[in-house]
Amino acid sequence: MTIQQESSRNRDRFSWLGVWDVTKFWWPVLKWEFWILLGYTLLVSVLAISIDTHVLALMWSLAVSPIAYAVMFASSLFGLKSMRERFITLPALNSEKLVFTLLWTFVVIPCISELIVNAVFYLYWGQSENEVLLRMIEAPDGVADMSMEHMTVFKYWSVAIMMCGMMTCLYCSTMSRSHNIIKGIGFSLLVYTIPSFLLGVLAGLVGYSLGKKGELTGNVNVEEAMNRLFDSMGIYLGGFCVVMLVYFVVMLTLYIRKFAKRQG
Amino acid sequence: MIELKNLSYYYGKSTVAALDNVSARIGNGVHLMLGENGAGKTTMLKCVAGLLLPTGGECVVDGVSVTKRLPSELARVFYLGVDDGAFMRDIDTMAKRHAPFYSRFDAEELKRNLDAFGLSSSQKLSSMSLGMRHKAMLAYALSLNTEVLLLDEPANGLDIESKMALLRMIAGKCDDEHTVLVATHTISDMETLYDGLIVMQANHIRLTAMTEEIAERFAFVRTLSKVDDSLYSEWRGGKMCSILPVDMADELGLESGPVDYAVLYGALHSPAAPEVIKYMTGPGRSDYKPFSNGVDYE
Repeated sequence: MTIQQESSRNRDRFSWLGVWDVTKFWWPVLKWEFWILLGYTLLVSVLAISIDTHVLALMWSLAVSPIAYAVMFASSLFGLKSMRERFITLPALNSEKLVFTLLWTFVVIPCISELIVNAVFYLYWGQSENEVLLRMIEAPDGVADMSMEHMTVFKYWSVAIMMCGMMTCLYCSTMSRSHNIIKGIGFSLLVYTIPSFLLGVLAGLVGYSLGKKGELTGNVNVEEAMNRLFDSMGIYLGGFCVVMLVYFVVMLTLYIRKFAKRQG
Repeated sequence: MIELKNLSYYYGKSTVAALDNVSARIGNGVHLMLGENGAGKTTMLKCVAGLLLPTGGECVVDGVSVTKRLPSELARVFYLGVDDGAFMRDIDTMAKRHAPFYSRFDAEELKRNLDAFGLSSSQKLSSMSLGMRHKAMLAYALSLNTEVLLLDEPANGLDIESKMALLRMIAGKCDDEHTVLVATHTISDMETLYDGLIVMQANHIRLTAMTEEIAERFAFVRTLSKVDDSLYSEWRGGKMCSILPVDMADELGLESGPVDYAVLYGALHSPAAPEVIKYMTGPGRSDYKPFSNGVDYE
């Protein structure tokens, strides 16, 4: 006897239930990264509030970098060969599959880390992650204060390169026909590191140029010198952000256009 | 009914076609796909499944192009490749997460199929041997009850008992609702099952024919010595197996056995192939239209 499981729903029309069905299809594979990321983020956040703030200021970047990489490479699992082929022929609309991949990559996974860290920080300190970190790195003597404005610019910058890395990983993992996961991780790492490297070189050049003009010497203290450097870098950072945004939009457009035509 | 209309496929930027302007009409029943390695069998199956989008032409299942990848169409076709590993932890998980997309999935049939193979649905697929995993996937694929089932080397790595079990399962699909395409090199495993034959060669479909049509045209005789004027002969199981035109077998008073696909395969890959095809596609055949890259072998 054939069990007729067909509901009255027309699968040839977009529905959020269809997106949910696609999510359920992927869940056995994706649940591991979901729970690991959730657990690690929670652990790091709880540890953060339980250790000395000076230590936290020094260790925080190191502690959160696995989260950043996990978020960036999250979509690489879409490149698993056996799942990828089944995903292409899965009887769901391409638009439902597309929405699922975008929501998972750019909403669900980043939200886990952002929400948990900020929720824990708010509950304990009543401040966001940025504000807490800013307050903490004020403390050591001789180290320049970083203004909230500069911190925010850097936050935008890090979000921009992160988004580009995530988009690259998603595109390569989904669209490539061989070595998807390696390509996804490899190219996203390139997209993530090259702008940071260029920015580092640029900071060196700007610092050198300011130093040559004598703007970082004489009566200028460290804090003031740093602020001058950050101010001079602002325009370049903004430019980089624009370039990254354009890259992201182009990649996203390509992804949407090519998604329905991907091959097994 | 599967219709291939001038179907072409090129992998990546390759200038060599994996499928070159192939046209065919394949009706319901179990069809055997034959062809040497690289002939285009897997590419054709993948095109029919919607996994590959043709570079040219189109593939139509019951009047609707699969290239549109509409869910209602994708749900009617299932492709099981030769190296298709398990894509989930166990068959239970597949039945829960993947099968709901297929409206005719039969959980009871899945259990029966797994029992026939001596497997359990909760067994971890990663802990199974390659052959066991393949059996589990076959059991699952057959229980989806899709109208079109595409099996690439289904009997590969199966022991004799499992081959018999698979034969029974596929035999259960021999009705007016199902089309099963079996691409294989091990013809004898399910020889009794086939309703039709598709021969691929050098990225073209060289021949399609129903079993009755073959039986109408050819006599498959087993003798102790070579039959003069036979189209093709080969030693098999201590007997000389020959293919000769039916009328000639009648004249010689030789009794024809059932269609021997293994011998036919040998004939189609021998210098006798043009002659065999000429007899297959020659005049007198009423309802069969030969297709082969637009070339009529008459």
